[in-house]
Order: sequence, then C-alpha cells, then structure tokens
Amino acid sequence: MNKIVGKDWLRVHSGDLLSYGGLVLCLIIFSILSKGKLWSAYNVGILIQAACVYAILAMGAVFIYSMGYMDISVGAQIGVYCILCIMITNATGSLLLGFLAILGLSLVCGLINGYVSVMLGLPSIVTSIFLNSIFGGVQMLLMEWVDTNSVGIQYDMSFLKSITAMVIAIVVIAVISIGLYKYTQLGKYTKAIGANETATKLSGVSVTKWKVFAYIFFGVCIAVGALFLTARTGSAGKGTGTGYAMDIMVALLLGGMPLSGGMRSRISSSLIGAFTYVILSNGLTLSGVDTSYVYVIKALVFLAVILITCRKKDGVLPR
Amino acid sequence: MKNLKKVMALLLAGALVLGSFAGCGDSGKDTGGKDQTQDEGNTGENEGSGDAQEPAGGDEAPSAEVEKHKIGVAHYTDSGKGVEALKAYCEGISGATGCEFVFTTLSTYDEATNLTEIQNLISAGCEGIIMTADMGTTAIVKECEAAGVYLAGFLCDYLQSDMTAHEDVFGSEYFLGSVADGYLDPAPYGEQVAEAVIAGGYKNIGLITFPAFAYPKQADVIAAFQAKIDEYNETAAEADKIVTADSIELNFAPLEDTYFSEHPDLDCIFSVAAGAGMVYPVMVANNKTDIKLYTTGFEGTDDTDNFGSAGNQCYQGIMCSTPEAIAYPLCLLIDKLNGTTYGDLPQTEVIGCSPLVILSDADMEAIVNKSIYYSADYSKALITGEDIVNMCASYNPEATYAGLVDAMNHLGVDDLK
Repeated sequence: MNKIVGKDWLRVHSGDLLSYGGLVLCLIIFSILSKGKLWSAYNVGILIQAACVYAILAMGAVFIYSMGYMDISVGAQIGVYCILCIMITNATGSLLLGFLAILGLSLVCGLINGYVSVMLGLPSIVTSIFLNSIFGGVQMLLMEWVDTNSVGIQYDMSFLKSITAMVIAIVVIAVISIGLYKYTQLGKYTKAIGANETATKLSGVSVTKWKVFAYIFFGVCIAVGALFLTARTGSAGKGTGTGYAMDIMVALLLGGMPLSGGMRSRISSSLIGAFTYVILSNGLTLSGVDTSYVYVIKALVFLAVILITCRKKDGVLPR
Repeated sequence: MKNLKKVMALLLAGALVLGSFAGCGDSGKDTGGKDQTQDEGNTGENEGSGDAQEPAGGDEAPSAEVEKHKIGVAHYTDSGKGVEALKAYCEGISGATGCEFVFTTLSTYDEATNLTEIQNLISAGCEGIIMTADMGTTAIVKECEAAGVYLAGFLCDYLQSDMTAHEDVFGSEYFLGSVADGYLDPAPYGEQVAEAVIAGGYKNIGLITFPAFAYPKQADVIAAFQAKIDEYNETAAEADKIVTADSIELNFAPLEDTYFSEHPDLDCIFSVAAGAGMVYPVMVANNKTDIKLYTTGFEGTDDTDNFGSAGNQCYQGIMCSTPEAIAYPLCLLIDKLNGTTYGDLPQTEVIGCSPLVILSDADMEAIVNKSIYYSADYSKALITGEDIVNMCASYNPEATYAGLVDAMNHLGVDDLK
C-alpha cells in the first residue's frame, strides 16, 4: 500500500520535485567544484545576505507575474527609495521616518501601476515603463542635487544588515506571501487573471481591485527590499537598483515561474530562484572559473535549469 | 515518459555544465578555504616554501623565501586589452611572488554587486584583495575588517571615499592605499595634450568629459589644458589663436550626433571620457574622422590602426595605465600578510603612476612592440615578479616605500623605449 502511495505521490509531484532541480544542480556542481567551500559558515552567510533582497522582491513579484504581467520599474524604484531613505534618515535622524516615506511612495506607485493601467486600458508594462523613466530621472536629479556619486547613511543599521535580521525578513515576507497567495482571494484571483483574465472578469471578479492589491503588495516588498539593500551597502548612488528588473525575472524563471502566470505559479519559485541566482555567481568565483567564461557558463546553467524546470506539456520554456 | 525525458534532460544538462567547467577550475593547488589559508600562514607551514607547489602559470621560478598568498583582483571590467594584459601580468608574476590570483568583475554603478563580489573572493580564500572601483567601498572595507582580509586599490584614486568616508576607508587598518589611474595630479596630462594640440596646429577644439560628480578630476585635466591654451593664445597672432568649445559631459553614453552640427568648425577633440568607445564610433558614423582625436583609454584596435600617420589618422593622442602598476598594492598586501612594513611607510595614501601617454608614431611603435599592455606578453613587463619580491620589505630588508613609489613613476612610454 505504502509503495503504491509513494509511487502515486511521486507521479503527481514529480514535476514539482524537478522544479527544484536547478537549485539542486547548482548545489551539487558547486559543492564539488568549490571543494566544499560553498557550505562554509561564512559563505552560507553571504549567500543569505546576497539573496535577501532578491528573495523579498521576487516574492512580491510573484503576484505580478501570476497575472502574466511584469514590472520593469522595480530597479529604478529601488534606486530612488534607497537614496530617499538615506537622505531622509540623515536629515531627521529617524530610520523609521525614512522607511515610512519610501513605503508611502511605494504604495502610491503600486496604485499607479495597477489602477492607471486599467483606467487607461494600457498593459501594465506600459505604466511600469512610464514609472521606470520617471524614477530613473528622479534618481539622476537627486544625485546631481547632492553633487556626489554616492550618498552614505549616517544611521547605525548593524542589526538590519545582520544575517539574523535578513533571515527573519525572508521568513516573515514568505509567511505573509504564502498566506496571501494560498489562503486569500488575492492569490486565487491573481492566478485566475493570469490563467484567463476575461473569464475571471466575466465570473464577477473585480479584476481592477485585485490588480491594484497585487501591485500594492509588490510595492511593500520593494520598500522592504530597499531598506535591506540600504542596510547592506550603507550607501546608494546613481546606479543603485540598475538591472534589478531583469535579475528578478531571471530569478523567477530559474525558480520555475511560468512567464504567462496562471494556476501553476508558486511563491516557492521566488525563493528557489533567488538562491539559485545567487549561488550561480558565488559558485563560479569559489570554483576559480576564469571571468572570461562566466557569462557563457551562466547562460548554459540558465538553459539547463529552464530545461529541467519546464512544466508545459508542449513547450520548452515555462511560459 | 515525460518525466523520463526530464530526468534525461537533467542528466544531459548536468553533463553539459560540468563539461563547460573542464579546464576552468582551480590551479590544482588545494588552497582550502579562508580559514585553512590563514591557519597555514599561522602555523608557518609555508615558510621557506621553495619546495612547496608553485602557483599556477608563473613564468618565473619561485623565490626560495616567498610565502604563498591568495590574492583577489576585483576589476571594473572583464574585457579589453587592459584586462588581457593584467591577467597575463598576474600569471607571469605569480611564480616569483608566490601569489595565486583570483579574478572577479565589479560593477561601476551598483554597490551591492561589488560587496557581493568581494564577499565571494573572501569566501574563496583570498587573504588580500586588490580593487579597481570606488563604489560601495565603505561597506566593503567593513566586510574586510570583519573577515581579517586586507584591501588595496589599483587604477582608482578613491576620491569619492576620500571626500565622503575618509575615516571609514582611509582610517581603516585594512585599507592599505591605492595607485591611481595615471597621474594623481591631473595637470601634466592636460598640459601634455595642449602642447601636442598647439604643435599640431589645430585651431578649433572640442572638450569632452564624464560627469563631474563621478570623475571630478577630469574637469581639472580640462582646466590644465585650457590654461596652457590660454597661455599660448596670449602671444599668438590673431589668426593662430586656438578656440575651445565649452566642455560637455557625456553621461556614460556615446556622444550625440548633433555635437558635430553644433560645432561645425571643429578640427580636434580632446575627450577625457573614453573616446575610443564613446566618441570615435560616432565620428565614424558621421563621417567626421578628419577631426583629430586625443583621448583616454586604449582599445588596441581601431585606435592603433588609425593612429598618427596610419589609417585615417584620426587618433593623435591616447592615454592609459599599464598593468605593472598593480605592483604597488601587491607589495603593500604581501608585506602586510607577511607581518612586515616599510620603515618609511607613511599613512595610507593614494599615489599616482606614470601613464602611457601616446602622442606620436614612435610612441605607438614602442607600445605595440615593447609593452605588455598591447601584447599581453609577460616578457615585456617593466616590473617583473622578481622585482616585486625585491621591492617588498618582508623579502628585502633594504626595500623602501620610496623605492616602490619611484618604480610607479617609471612606467611611461619613455621607459619602454
């Protein structure tokens, strides 16, 4: 009986298990090539530090990608939030005030991303392009205003940059995300919008409302991510946040997130993807790989992980 | 069946990735983790390591007395002649100096990336790190302090840190100093180019820099250039006077096409902002290669083919720094790791080095035929691994800091000839 149950369970969940294959593959390869350095206490700590911001952002982004949308303004938003958080904290001496300011701003941006796109009948990516341009310009203006390449925070953020605080943050955001995703209408409807937006609308669901909520939650995650990024580096500049939109997308894909969203979307994709993405860079350095080969190897690993994690019957990519 | 295919894909992908690593891994020397490396140093197992394994790839035999060290090199770029030359140089000196080098690439705009890369080097067992970008330096220095890893700079003046976080960076015992990308005083380079422009007989000059908030000293180069031109204009006949256009800033993007329509009379451009990548391609696209270009950065491609009297003769001046300047931070790191310092070592500072300023066909010929920068041939290096050992106080009691600084001032074109 147990054997049959085990077989059935494996049959049902084999796809899910394989979606962890990318992470497992990276762990096995780099454990061997780094001669165990991957698992040193210091390395595990820096992996958590490096993955923290990606994981927090990716968990928020899951709600957006579940709807089949994406937000390319995340990098520029992060940059501006980090700079503003530092400037406000330095000016007032209150980190709480700095964080609340960027949290408020992120909520407004979430509202714009979600509501304006519906009101104007625009794809959400268009409003995110608009926000990306706005925030990119603001970031440049802020740095030119302070007339320096980088601004440093004068507040002691030692606790927030500790591994303990980062683990707590990942766990808290994960618990909230899983709770919202699995046990509330927000998760159910964002997946439904990704699966078939028209059908969801026709079944009486207020698509606009849930889109806005999804973007607002993502905004909260961006603000929290910006806080931890500021704590980690202690400074921010004109280029802070650059590339994060692509990094998040790659992390989610590495975690097996379908680009078209829908019912197969999972929060675990964000955590698996964030750690896979970070371990990839870390492992290559630990293994002593020549920098000339890094991009090629990253591309091969990316391709391998996508092949392993694809879950669409007739397709190659998880779309 | 579907899952069987996936398992096969997993196996094949694993083989693909493992195969791609073939030949890319460690040198074969088991360096161990950071702790292991430090333990070895502490227990003295490596002392008198002439009979120890030679670090990979060294062109010179290891000196009998040298200690083995693992040094991280975090460079701001991962491609180009400069990188090829730097890697060839490090490989060349590794045998004589006992240093194994681990390379990684930094970001020029993202603090978090740089911190992560430095953490990765520390985790890879590097005891000392040489860094070429001043971005996120405060957090990086704190990380190095916590990990007991020393840090030194190369091709970077750390002006940003000097101005905004001097105590955190320069006040840390783990930051040992830096050698800048060329002259520390920007005036000589600006004056050299001005003299070449005057001698060339150019009358309408365009001036280009990167933004002052990122490279504040570039404006000083232009100011020195302008001062020299003004000095010339004071005595020049009206018809011979040189006119300079207002300096513009390139925001790390290529020059706008409209620049040439706004300045139709230009016969020369002085771009302190990486002209080979940011200006020359735009000149080609606008059929303006009749304008002469003086610039920083050396690609060793179009700039060589069209320099001086060769090709379209567009390039008339190039400036870059040679990889041998890494000897400065390396000597400081080796001595610190060996527990010895120079008797005349001052407080942590940034020094300059003589750059390769190429202003004539003879200069270019010397670079092409005699420099490691162009050929990536270690035998052409101006400072060898043995020289580095001799410049370290821990290996040569007579070595002085003044001697090390002096060596940095003999890396120019004239020293190649």
